[in-house]
Amino acid sequence: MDAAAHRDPANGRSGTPARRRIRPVVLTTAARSMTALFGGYALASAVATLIARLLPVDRADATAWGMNLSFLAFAGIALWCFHEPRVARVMLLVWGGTAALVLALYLLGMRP
Amino acid sequence: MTKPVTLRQSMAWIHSWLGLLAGWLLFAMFLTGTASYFRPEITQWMQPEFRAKQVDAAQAAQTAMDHMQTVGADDIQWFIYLPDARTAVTRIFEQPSATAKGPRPAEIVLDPATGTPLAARETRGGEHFYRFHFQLQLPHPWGRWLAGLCAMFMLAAILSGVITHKRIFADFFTLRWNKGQRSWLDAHNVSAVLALPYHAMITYTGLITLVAMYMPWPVMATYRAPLDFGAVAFGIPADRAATGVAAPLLPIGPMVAGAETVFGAPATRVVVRNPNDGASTVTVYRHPSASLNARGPSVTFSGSTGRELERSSDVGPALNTAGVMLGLHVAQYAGTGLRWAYFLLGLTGAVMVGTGLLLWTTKRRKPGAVRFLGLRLVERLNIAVIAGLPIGMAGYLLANRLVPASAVGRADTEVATMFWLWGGVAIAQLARSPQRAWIEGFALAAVAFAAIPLVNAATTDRGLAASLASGDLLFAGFDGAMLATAGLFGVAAWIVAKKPEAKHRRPSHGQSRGVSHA
Repeated sequence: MDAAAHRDPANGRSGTPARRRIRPVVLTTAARSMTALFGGYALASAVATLIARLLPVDRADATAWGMNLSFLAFAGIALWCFHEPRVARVMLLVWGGTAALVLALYLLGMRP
Repeated sequence: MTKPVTLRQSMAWIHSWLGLLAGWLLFAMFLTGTASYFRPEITQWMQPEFRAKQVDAAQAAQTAMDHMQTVGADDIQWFIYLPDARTAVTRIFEQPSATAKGPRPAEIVLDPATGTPLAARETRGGEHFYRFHFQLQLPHPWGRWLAGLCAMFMLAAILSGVITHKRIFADFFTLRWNKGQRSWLDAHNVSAVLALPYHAMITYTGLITLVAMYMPWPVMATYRAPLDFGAVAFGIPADRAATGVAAPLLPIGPMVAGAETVFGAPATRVVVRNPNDGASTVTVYRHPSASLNARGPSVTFSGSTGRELERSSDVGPALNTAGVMLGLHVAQYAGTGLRWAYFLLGLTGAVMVGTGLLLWTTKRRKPGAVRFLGLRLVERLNIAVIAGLPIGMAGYLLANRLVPASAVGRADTEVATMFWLWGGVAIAQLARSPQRAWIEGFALAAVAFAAIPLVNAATTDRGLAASLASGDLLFAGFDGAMLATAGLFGVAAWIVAKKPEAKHRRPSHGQSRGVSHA
């Protein structure tokens, strides 16, 4: 088995005995994956909705720009979740960012 | 004490996991989606009793209307899909009125020339592969969500794969045969890099085809009634409620001809709302072959007076972009040559995913070492999908010829054949060593595909010889493609058989590991 393949480089604490590091790595990887998948979707949705709400072009086109770009945002956010080494920072920025954008959207209300 | 991680390291790690988790479904989506480039042709091949006569769209619309006036005159809506150069039949979906009695067929299929129900064997035809490639034979909406999830994994795998892959230009020219793992990596790289623009395009545009379902949230911030967005984006005409005052529907053939003059292109679809009501409307849509943008313009007529009521308005750059992305994905704009290019590029997608999956096992298989559970599982799933799915697809086509043409529920039997055969192969292979399973799986696929033209010749009067003699390019091309596929699987079986069992050369020196994926 290839050791490098089983070491999560994002959590890589090489040198620690395998038995002792397995639990934290499983937990942080699970948190990271869930944040990337669901948090990434939530944040990408919020970004897309904010674009639709604020972009100063025709209403239908602003909506479509948000939708067209949403998957690119999702992919970028999700990959960043696996690159940033500090899992707390990943969760804070993705979930916190989503909360902040949703709040902003709530305060902005419907596009007039 | 976190060790700094380079972008390439983290991306290589996530690339292998994304590919592994979604790989088998992506392979199935690529293969059935690629077959769907020939969806109308597959359907024609699967109804050999019916010989298409070219009928213009206006005449087909009129014969369809004449039929619908006898079976669904009080319906709420008729959706009429007109025939074209590739589609031989008229397909109609009706939305019956609330007071309609009795079960209605899910779909009405007519002979466009006469407007009579088609006298041909019941089949899902190419529609089955097409539906499977984004619904995965799961109940709505779960299949579409799962397909969307796989497509997102694919998108992230493409992006992380490109970042991982620094030697993208050099590897374009690099394919080292018979070097074990190194060759699989090269094959993965060549198929991925060669067709990278296609893979990125087909993945992103695939997500866009269902964007209204996957990403409905922007509409919520901009429209109080989400349907208003659909009206602009998809060219749905203004809603005109039925008046309840009867007024006979005028012939729609001339309306279709009139719309074609407006488009300067053929019509593809007619939607009749509230037929035989004073407020009835007839909306005609332009054929997607006319433009890269699959969302063509529409013209709406009054059904009772024949007057033009409205034309779809021009949309902005974002909606045009979405329409072009849809067009790029479904490729209905493509002529025959480009369609075959699409088909071959689609196959490189299946090759890329397949070699990626094989690379995963080759990397972890070491001579003399115990095969851990994950390795054995991935190895078996690879055989089940890469060899098993094509066998199932061949079984679907064979069932079309072998199940009696008049059998009840035969369309479902054809579909069931594909999945039982696929599942059967997936289980039966467990009785053999992996290498024997690969050889026998590929050999069985070769036999199954080679059998298709033979069974076709034995059960219909449209065998390869007859098709060639009568200049029937569609049937001859189909049989030829099946023989070519059989040949490819035969070569694959031969290559695996020639390889000494369970001996895998290690990379020649340590440095070559440096560029490998995860």
